[in-house]
Amino acid sequence: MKNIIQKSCVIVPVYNEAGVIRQVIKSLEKLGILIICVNDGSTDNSAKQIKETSAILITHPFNMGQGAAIQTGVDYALGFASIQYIATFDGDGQHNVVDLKSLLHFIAKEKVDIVLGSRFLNKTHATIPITKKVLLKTAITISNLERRIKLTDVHNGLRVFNRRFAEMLNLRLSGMAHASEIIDRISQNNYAFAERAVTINYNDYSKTKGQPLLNSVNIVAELFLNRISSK
Amino acid sequence: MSIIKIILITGLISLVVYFMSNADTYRVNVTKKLLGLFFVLFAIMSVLFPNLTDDVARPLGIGRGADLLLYLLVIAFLFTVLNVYINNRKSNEQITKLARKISILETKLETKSNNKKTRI
Repeated sequence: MKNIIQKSCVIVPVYNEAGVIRQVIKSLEKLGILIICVNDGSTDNSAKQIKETSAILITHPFNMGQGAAIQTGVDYALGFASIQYIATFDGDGQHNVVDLKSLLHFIAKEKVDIVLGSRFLNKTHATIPITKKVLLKTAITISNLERRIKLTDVHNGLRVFNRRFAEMLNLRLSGMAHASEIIDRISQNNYAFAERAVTINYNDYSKTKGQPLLNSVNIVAELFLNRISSK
Repeated sequence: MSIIKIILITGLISLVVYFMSNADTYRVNVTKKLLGLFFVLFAIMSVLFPNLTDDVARPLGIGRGADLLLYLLVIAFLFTVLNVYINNRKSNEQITKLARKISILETKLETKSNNKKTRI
């Protein structure tokens, strides 16, 4: 396992998470993994919090969206020749380090190009707020209808992919629609993928940070326009 | 279903698809400019010869020349909006890439200067 960690890094996109980001990074530090924290133009003192950890801090000059933050992290990570596996991990405390560890182990062992975390693969979805669950399930159904690839969770920020996948990534959608863009990349280029069960922590803090329902309109619009104007 | 409706709908859809496909940006841009020029010329002609538009409109199934001009104006407007949107997107993509480059450069600079500090 240590061998895998040495070849991996985790990208944590951060936007105004001053309250929890220190704890999130501290829990990741226990893994001994290289942490690349992309501060997406936070207006609180997230940057200061991150500087007091061992994480590498990259700061965007203004807010561009989670997709842009992840792409920045990927570009930076690819600069290290020894990095073979890149993970994305949410900065709001919704994800668990133990899940990250299991995804890393999986990708190294099974040699797929990308492993996606899914909250619907195990039985703990009793804790998901109802409206969010309905919205997510709808998104999943639509995504599965539109694409060859069938997934159980299309909007999970916890994933690990290999260098090969990272090198072709080039996310064009800077906002939250990047999750769907990643799925498109997988199906368009026939990458080997897998889904693994992960647990999402829904507490009061993360509930306020979750995507507002109206934003799903934005995401759908972004995807549609990207689809008809693709290169 | 008058001829004009068929022409308009099929023409519009194919043009939108063409413009948004990034097929050959140079040719697309030239087409846009030519269409714009054609529209302006037609508008000038219709001012100079008010009955000309009527003569063009009637075989297409439209009552008045002014109506034809109105329809053309609506189309021209929609295309203007579309064009602005496309150009905006391109600009935003460039800005994002630029911001990313700066962010990464800054981080690399800081890492270098931090390393120099610890060495002393």
